[in-house]
Amino acid sequence: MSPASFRPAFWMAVMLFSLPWLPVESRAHVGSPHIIFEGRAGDYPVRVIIRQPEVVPGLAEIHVRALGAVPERVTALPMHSVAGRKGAPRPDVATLVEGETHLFQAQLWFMTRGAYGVEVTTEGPLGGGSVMVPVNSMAYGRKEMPLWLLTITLSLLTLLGLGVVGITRAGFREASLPPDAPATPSLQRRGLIGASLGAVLVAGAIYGGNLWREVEDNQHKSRVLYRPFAHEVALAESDPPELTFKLTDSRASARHNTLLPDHGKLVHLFLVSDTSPPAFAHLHPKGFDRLAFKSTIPPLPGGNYRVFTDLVHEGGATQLLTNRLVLPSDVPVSPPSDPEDSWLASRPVGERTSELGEGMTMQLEVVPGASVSEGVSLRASVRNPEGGAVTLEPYLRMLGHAVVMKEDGGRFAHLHPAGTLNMAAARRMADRSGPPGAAEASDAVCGDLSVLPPEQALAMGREGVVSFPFVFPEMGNYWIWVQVRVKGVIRTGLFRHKA
Amino acid sequence: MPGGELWVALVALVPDIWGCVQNTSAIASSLDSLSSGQTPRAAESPADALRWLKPVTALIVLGGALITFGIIWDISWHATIGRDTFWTAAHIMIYAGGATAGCLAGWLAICATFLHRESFRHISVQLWGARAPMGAWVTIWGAAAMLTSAPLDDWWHNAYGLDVKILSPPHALLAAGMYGVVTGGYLLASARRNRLAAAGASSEGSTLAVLANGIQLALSSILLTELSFPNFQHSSTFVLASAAMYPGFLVAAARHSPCKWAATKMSLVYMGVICVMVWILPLFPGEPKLAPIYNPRTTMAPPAFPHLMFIPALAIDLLFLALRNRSGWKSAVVAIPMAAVLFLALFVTVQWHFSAFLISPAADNHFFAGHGRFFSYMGDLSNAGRFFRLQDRAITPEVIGWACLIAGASAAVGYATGGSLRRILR
Repeated sequence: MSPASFRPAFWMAVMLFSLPWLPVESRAHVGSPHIIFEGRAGDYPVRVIIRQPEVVPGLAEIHVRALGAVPERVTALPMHSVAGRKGAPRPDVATLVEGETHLFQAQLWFMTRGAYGVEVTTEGPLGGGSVMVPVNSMAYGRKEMPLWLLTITLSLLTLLGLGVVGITRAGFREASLPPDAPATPSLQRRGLIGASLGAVLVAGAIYGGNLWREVEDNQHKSRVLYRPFAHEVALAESDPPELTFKLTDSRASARHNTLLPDHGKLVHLFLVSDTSPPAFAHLHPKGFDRLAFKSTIPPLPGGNYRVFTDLVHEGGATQLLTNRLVLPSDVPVSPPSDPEDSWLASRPVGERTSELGEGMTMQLEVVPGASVSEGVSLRASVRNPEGGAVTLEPYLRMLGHAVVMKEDGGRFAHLHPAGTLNMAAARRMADRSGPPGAAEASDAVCGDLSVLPPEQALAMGREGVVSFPFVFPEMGNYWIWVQVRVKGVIRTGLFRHKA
Repeated sequence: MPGGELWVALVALVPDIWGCVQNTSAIASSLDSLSSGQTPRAAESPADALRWLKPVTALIVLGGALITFGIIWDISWHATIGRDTFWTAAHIMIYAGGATAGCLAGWLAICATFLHRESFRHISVQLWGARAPMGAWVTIWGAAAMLTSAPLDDWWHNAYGLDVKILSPPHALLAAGMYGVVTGGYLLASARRNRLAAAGASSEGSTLAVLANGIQLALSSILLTELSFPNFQHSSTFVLASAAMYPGFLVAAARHSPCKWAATKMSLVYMGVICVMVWILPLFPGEPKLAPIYNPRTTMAPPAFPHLMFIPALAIDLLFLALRNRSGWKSAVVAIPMAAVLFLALFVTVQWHFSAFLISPAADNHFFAGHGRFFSYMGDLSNAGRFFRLQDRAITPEVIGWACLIAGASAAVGYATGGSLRRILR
């Protein structure tokens, strides 16, 4: 095969090889990739940050920072929601990060899709104990091949292809030639036949390999890649008008996908307008059918809204569903269908101070963690007009709730003082894998004020301060809403933060 | 035991290996003489220069053996422990085998192209101006393919997750590379055996060729691991895949080897390789480190007991013995269909009953490692005594018909390959 004749074949091979490997847009998941818990693991206060794997099977990175005394030993044990503790390996011992005295790290493989719980256990002079942090093992996207790797791979594959052609040519031409056999034109013909067969083999390998890659990619998209449940968010023509949320996905009927209440509510639905500053609502639609829920529409300005819905399933998996809705501008005011519903139509936005009404203000302080990867603490304090502390009352069993959304809607998180971990999922995992009473203990660790005596719950809010640990997943501008209950009324502060 | 034969053969090669080392230092001193302007020593004879081709060929075959044992070990690692990194012992064994074979084959190319061009002229083929024995080129290609697959595999894991099955596109490239290394060793051994046969030493060199061929079959059988567990052997998938894979190997071995019972010996090597791992791996402790664990193993998982390949192999050897006086198309039109039918009839019948034994409690011992002993940590032991895929993949007359056609095609490829292998001299 002469150099001139193989040039077109070379570039065709390059093209055929390149096309399937060029960057493909992967499906976006707007939820935070980090699960954060801040609280006590037994006798030791800790902040646990788990970076969920993005592929399945995949590796989760776990960091545990001791916020006070340092335990002697920290372990992490992954438990699948179905196999439970019985199907779990020995716990991994977390090691101290080099140069650190308070920060431990571990890596855990999650081999199948579904809900997992990572039991973080501390042992030391103060005693010990554990906390169950629920983690979703889902393939949220597919990583693209970097250009440099694509270039190197294509070059090597081209060489291999040329090698096949050359070897088959040489083999047909000379491999069975006895010693001293003369060189004849028939040898060259045999060599060309061999080269042609080699080229057919290479072309077949390219075609077959590409086809196989497509099949694997399609299987990955249809069977492995996370597909959020199909659902509808619409306005019902009723009097008064209502917002309906329906799960239309066939998977929603499965027993392990039955919805679990999360701090008392089956559905947490958030509306965020496209305006700047955005209007906001935190609603709890009521079920009127097994998979359908409805809520009255709060007095928000008309326009386009992003809809974010938090769900927890019986199996322990959590979902954040996204949708869009157009609200009319002339919705009559009607009582909320749930007394815990809250909204914020509009308010001037500051980076650090938000008016709450009746002269009260909320100040937000973004306290950086020990390192960038360990995130921040969003510390909100509520003050009366005189500057004194305002007692915070339990709202949805917590001292406060926060919602963080990237300005373009690409990231969204609903968080609590204990972090981003889902309390209902943590309870489910603890109930399945722990001793009797583990579920209630999990609620307490996750900051559920309903397990405390009312006086103790109120005492926790006396200083008027609530803090939320968070890791900003990407650089950019974020809206932050902090919701508290003061004197029986839900107040929402709105802030803008550049991460 | 075939493994023992390999060790005896290698020990016998030690004097040749020492000769190789001495020749190499002589080459170096000759080059030094040339560069210093001194008169070089008289060039050694072709026989001297090629004397160490035999130990190098044996070491390349050993490299292929390391790859095969390493792959079986790696599968066991994933089935037992689950978690691994690039630098596990099994991975090191695989890449050491490939690197050793690749480097040795590259050395042959250097010798044939530069250092002993005249000596190698009659036993090498030309590729892009360089020369090397045919098997050496195939080995070099195989080693390069193995290396190329590594970054591709790493990206595939990052994009699609860690593999939970043996075959993925990057693994297929790795498999092609490993197969190239093993086949290259086999070609080197076959070419050497054919040259010796042409020179009158009819059976010399056959042992190494049979060993290489058996290792090649063992490596190929690993590709069908996920279709060939005893619990799957009453399904059509197993029959069709086996019909596509094995007749070609047996027919090629029976046709091309000048030694008797070549297919039988090759199949015994294949069984020996797998049996060694069946018996050795469970001697080592291992526990799962990944959740969910449905089968809490305490020892390394062995592979499933190999197929009783020597039975259809013996029949095919007898067939070719009976046809030894025929040649050309008269031999082919009889040999190919008869070999296909013999293989299917014997293999399916034998494995049908043997697999039933292997999944029964009677096989629950160290020797046979049956009744679920080969299940991974994710396997459900309550299914150890059941056959799977019986409803949707039953063996019907239609399946047997297709299997006959596929086995015939495989036998035809083996027949043609065997004929080519008989003629290879370089």
